[in-house]
Amino acid sequence: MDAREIMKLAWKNLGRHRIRTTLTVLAVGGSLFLAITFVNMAKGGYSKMIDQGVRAGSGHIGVYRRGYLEDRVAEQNFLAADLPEKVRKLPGVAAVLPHIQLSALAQSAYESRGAFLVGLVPSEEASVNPYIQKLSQGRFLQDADMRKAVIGSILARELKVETGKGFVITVQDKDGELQSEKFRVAGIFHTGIKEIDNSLVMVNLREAQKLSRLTGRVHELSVLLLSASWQESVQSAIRDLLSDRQDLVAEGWHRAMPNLYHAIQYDYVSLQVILLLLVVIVGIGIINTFLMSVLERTREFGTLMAIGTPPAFLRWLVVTEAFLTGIMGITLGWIGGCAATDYLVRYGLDLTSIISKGQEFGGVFFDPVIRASWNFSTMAFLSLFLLLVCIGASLYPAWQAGTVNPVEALK
Amino acid sequence: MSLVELREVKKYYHNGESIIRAADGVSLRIERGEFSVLAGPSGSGKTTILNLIGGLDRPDSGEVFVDGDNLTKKDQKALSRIRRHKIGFIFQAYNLVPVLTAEENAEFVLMLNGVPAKERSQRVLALLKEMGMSGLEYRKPGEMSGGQQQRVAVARAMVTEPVIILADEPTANLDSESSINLLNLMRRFNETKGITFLFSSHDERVIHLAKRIIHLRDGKIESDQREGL
Repeated sequence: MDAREIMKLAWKNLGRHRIRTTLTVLAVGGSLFLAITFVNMAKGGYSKMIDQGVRAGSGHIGVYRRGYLEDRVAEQNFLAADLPEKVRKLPGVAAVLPHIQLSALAQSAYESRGAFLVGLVPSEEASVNPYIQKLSQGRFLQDADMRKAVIGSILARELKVETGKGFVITVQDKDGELQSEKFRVAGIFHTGIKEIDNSLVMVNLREAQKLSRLTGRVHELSVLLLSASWQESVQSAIRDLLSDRQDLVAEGWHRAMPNLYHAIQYDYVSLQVILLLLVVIVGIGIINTFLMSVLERTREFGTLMAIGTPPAFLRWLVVTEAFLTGIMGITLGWIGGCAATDYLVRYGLDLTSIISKGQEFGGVFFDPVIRASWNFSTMAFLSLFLLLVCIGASLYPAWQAGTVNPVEALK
Repeated sequence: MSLVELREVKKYYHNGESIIRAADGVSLRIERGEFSVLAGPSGSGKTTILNLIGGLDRPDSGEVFVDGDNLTKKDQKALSRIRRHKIGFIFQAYNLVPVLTAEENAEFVLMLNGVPAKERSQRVLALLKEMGMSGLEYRKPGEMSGGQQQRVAVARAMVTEPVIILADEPTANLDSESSINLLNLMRRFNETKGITFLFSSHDERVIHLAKRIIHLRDGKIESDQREGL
């Protein structure tokens, strides 16, 4: 059997009922369009949230004392030494941000509140820290700042402080002694996420180290990458660097931010279930269309079998018709999906009218303007999957076509 | 051995409690080069006999031989191959593929037989020209008259140079003039190319153009007359 001849005949057969073929192609194309658009939009949204998350703290990869991510106790710190420099030189690394993270008590002349103190290097954070864009008052920290702090808006309101005003931070030092220091508010940020706005206090790393008597030591080395695609290679390279430091581990962002990771996983699985249902409905539609098409041609198939056409030829013919329908639908779906993705990459989908600002997702600030991202491998997978659904949906009609009894069909 | 031989062939159909004896112990021989008709009223068994010779149906008992092949012992795949290479079919309602042109319809079986596109086109165009169909090669069935469509069907049956062409009521859907013209065309090919034809009909004007008339009634051969005898 000549595949090209089958292809030619299948193409001509699709032209018999142009409206029906067009509707089937539109169903396949429409489902792929929706799948491509929603997946690219979801992945774009996830990327942005992951980006926010890694910039706000953990990095794409975090280096920690073994057990720190589970227990989060101040004693699990480590001497950074030349490790930040070594990591910074690895290909794919955009920034290495050392952090001290301590539970603290913030006190003003009026109130006292529990707080979460983060010591950081302002110059390193300047281009990446998402809280800089959320400043509602004052400015971000600078390396030369002494005893200055940037705090969350709710905490500032509760302490009744504003920029320039002082408050006292108390922490437990490495020996368990309470240590206090007075800081002045350099800036106040507002993310809209209550847990962050009511507790986070950012100070210069040296101040935090001095206060906790952890000179030269950190709790976290947050490693930011040029893109998420570097994750595996850089994580592996850092693990090599840590081969002589068994007390340290290099973990991906999903271990440092399990809430975000699981929220994304759950959301993506939900999306996949919806898309699968869509594809199942399209598949049932295709089965129906091709069964109709085969039943309509019973007499013709009977004639063709009578003149010697092998049943396999007729079966391949029906499968090829489905294959061509799938290819046309997929082409249409790609055109529509790419156009929609391009628009959503450039302009995004603004949901501010239905989603209030300050919503969080998995503990990370949720931007109501969702921008899509290109995911060609996923798009290729979706296309292939849909093509297989088209072919799969044609198998029963194709089998039927090959079992036509010519004597009955010709009556 | 005869080109076609039926030995004591029986084919019964059950319709509720009644039994229709479509072929009731039929024994028949068709020799090469014959131009024969199976004549008889509706239900006499004409189509059943043609279906049995064409390997489209199997007898309940008896044997059917075509060009030395015992069709009753062949599987579907082998029967399909025999039909493709040795038997041509012409149907009452032409049964052309509506999306194919006259040329494509006529060359369909050649395509199945793996004949290269150029060769099959040459063969079909020459045949269509011989049949007076020049200029209609690229028309689809819907753009042709019944007579023209049936000529394309004849071309489709002849182009593989089969050992026999079976035609089931080939003129039933044609007017008188087209019927006579078609039969004359078939007879011309029988005489000039030696192709064996076996067709069925109950139209007396058509029946008398055959060289051998086999009358059937109730699944049995009632008479068997040859031209000039």
